[in-house]
Amino acid sequence: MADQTYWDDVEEGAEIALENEEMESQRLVVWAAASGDFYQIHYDDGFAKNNRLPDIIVHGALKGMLVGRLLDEWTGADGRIVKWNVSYRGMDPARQALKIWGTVTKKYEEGGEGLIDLDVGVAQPDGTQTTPGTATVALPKK
Amino acid sequence: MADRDDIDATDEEKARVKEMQAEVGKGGSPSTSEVTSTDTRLFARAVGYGDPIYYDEAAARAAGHRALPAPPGYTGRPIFNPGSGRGGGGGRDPLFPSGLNGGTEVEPVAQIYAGDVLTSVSTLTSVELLPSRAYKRIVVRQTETVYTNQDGDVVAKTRGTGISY
Repeated sequence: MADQTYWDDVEEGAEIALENEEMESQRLVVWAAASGDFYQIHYDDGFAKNNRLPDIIVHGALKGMLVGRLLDEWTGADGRIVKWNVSYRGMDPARQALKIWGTVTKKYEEGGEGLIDLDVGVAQPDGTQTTPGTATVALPKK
Repeated sequence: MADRDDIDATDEEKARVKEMQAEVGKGGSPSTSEVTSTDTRLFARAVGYGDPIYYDEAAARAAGHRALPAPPGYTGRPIFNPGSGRGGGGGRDPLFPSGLNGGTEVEPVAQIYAGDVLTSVSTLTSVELLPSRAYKRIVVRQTETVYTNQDGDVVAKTRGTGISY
């Protein structure tokens, strides 16, 4: 388990990331089973090509939950995710590594709790951004 | 919501959207979802979690959990019953048969555990008919879903954006 992140140590502008999340077809099939989203554009090459897609594409919800994992691992056992959101603005073809990222935009206290706002998103290897969003988490104080 | 005159939609499509807008604010029927250890582990594996608390019950209990915790965002699996009309991909509107997931917001309220049984109620919060370069016109529907566990505690809220065309 990762070391605990404390509110006191976080600065606005700080960046967090899952650097290389490989999106092979096997992972998308595992996600299809986990989520119940069996739409063939996510695992059937022929079906995807017949729908004029460049390749099978990563499920939007998987990208959203990867942002959740980034936040969960960062907040640790003693922090918590207040909420997060993502918009699915573009498709991510499979068989490439995606970067799941967050940038701290605001550090503040509310009701005695140490809160952090972030911009979050998903980037393709060439930097294309497809899944912008925001998040709020609570971190323990020292 | 004001109607827009610049949208390339048929009168039938506009009338259908007005019918949808009349449903805004009304909660749907409750739906039951199971949270099994098999499913929470599978979800954790697909998302790439490495923390043993999501896989190993002893590790979970040692960390203070009462059972295997579900990773954030997991809200159970709707119970599939081919006779119920649920889970079979039905429910598409004949005038707007194709759909896209426009986005999601997740608000974890309390920890969800393997063994929980969740009841969810979805409420349509807005419906808009909008112009689209790709599809001429799209229907954007915002929905909020509240999940309650077997003890009556709210454990999660999600808000979704669905796009139909």
